[in-house]
Amino acid sequence: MVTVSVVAGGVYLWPQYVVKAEGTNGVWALLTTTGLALGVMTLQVLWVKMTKKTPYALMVRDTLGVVGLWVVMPVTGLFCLIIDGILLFLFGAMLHVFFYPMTPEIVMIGTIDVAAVWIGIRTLSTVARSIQFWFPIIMVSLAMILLFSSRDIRFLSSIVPTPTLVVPQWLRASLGTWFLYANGAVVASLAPHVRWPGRARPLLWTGLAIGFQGSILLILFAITLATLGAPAVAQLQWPMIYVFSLVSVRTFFFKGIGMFVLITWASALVLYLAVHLFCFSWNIQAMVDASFRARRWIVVAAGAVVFGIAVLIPSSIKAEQLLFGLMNPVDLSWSLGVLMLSVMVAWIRRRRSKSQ
Amino acid sequence: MKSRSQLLAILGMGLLLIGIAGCWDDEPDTLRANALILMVSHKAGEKSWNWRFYFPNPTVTVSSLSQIKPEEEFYTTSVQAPSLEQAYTQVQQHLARDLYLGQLEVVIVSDTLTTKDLASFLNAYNREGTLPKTAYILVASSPLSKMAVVTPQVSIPAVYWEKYFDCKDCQPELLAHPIWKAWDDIVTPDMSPAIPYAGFDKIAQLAVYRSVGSPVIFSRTETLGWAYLMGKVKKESLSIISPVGTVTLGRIHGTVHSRVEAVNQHLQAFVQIHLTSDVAQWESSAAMTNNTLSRIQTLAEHRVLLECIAAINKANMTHTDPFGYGRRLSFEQDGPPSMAQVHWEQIDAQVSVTMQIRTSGGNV
Repeated sequence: MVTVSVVAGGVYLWPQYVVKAEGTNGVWALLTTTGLALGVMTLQVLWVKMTKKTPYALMVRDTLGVVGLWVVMPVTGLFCLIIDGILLFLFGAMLHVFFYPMTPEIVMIGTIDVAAVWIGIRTLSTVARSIQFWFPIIMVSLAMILLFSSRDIRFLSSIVPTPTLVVPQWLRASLGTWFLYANGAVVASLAPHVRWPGRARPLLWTGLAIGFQGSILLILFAITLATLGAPAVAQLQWPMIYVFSLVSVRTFFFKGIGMFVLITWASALVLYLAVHLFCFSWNIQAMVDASFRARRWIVVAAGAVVFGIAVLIPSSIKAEQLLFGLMNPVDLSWSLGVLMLSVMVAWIRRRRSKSQ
Repeated sequence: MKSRSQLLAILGMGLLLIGIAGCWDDEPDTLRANALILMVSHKAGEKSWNWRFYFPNPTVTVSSLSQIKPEEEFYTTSVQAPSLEQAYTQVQQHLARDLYLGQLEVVIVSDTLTTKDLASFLNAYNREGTLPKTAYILVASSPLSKMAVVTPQVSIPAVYWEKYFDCKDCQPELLAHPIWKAWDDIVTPDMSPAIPYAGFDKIAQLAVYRSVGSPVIFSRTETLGWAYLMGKVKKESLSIISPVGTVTLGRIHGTVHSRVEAVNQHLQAFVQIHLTSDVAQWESSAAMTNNTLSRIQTLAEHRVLLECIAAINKANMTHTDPFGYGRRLSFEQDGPPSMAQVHWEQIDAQVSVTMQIRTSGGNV
């Protein structure tokens, strides 16, 4: 459950950038990144298995030593917080555009951040439980809105990708989708703690979780494209929100049922942030060997950093530049590099200790 | 210690609640001027546009509804401004309430708007997050003020056009067109946006926008043909003068299967229309035999076919494509629409119409 619900972070930005970069062929980029994410998660889970340490920080210390820990952890954590801050800002900007034009964005950003911190300072089981509560609600509302918006589909033929694949475009779009899967070390930290029904199968379950997220993204991609067509999607900043706002069931008492659903999605973002903050603080706690009480202050500080980043971003264009132009490639190469290096080191060490 | 953290928690929750409420945007309805109709007109070459907003009379309550005079149901504000946003500002200067367009239901644009004008207006409209994209759009000829229909059929704050378009059973052909579809059609290449064109109190025609210039108005026959080709006919009727007398077919509706292909740089459309209808009127002196029925059927199919051909001819004559065939072709064939290769001058259409006539009635 925990792994599944790490997903909701940046979904609302989807899929404008991909369509802009690659048009209808964006679906290849999505499949590529999903495959990549599967690979990354598999490596992470293998790494967990090899080191038998938890959370992530201890894994890193076990494999790369104390120096490695002090290099890897701050960078990974910082990337995670920056991406979170950008996503939070963009969500606030979206709320501002569609729902609260008069409310200052700082209030919305602050509210969501405070709620996330609040959940984040609780224990692991509390965090997991609140996710367990919200997750079905979010999913049911998503299913409902998808059902309603399928009425608006205009061009089914526009989903079908073209036979020609332009490689640079494809790579660019693939890079642009990475942020949806950029979990930092969340999965590696949480996977050992899930209470498995029956035999522990972390590999299978993380695979399922990634596949589930990928299929939801695919459905959203398809419905957005089929409703508006690629040229129109590329022109909108929030194509998916736009499509959902078209859902109006006039026989009901209120028109914008899609809008209602979107508000419940705010809770998805809160949970996403909460899980990230929780894992971040947990890892820092393990790193500096701090007490349980100190972890709370780490959460608060991390929340403040995320808030600060979100507030400092001047405009949504800048935020998207930062996300797609800088953070996506940097985070992807960093996490791939660290992961491959560590798995290799851990593997070699294990073989050596066996042969001795 | 415990009570202090509890106090903090309660305080935090209170702050959260205040934040979530979004008080800045929360305005009671009585302090708002909810525009229901927006009318836009613009004369070619002139810099400023005419914007007209219709508001429901705020003094109306359920009990006073019967006393209010029809001409007092709405109040209107009209301004000259170069853009939508400027129009807000200027209208706000006239109003003692907060101008709010989140409840907008109908947008009526003048037929003097060129395609470029319409595109710039729709783009501006579409940028604004709070404006409802599900409002209906229709085209009318100037003066637009006659389009604010006050009829006993609807009472305020309902708007006639909105009620009409909402009601799927009211329309012989489904012409309702929400504003997002109009925007989508304008942004998507290889398509001529088709927007319903309204007379004073009925909607039976189409305004089709060429790539440049003012719109082409499709006649009633051509509009009907368009509706048949697009599968939008819901309850049309048809009178045929035949050897056995005048026969009327009612409740004509059906399904359409179409396919588009590019043949030698030509756009070829294959359309099969299957219709079903009821016999509504039949000369009582004539017997209803299989033979006469099949003759009537042939005549009816022929009539529908002629209407379809009229629509296609009009489109070819004016170099428009209100059917979206070209767009479909470029979606299916060429991938990224910017790379669309096929350009065509004419639509070659092969249309086949079959009509099934049901004869069950009160007195066969």
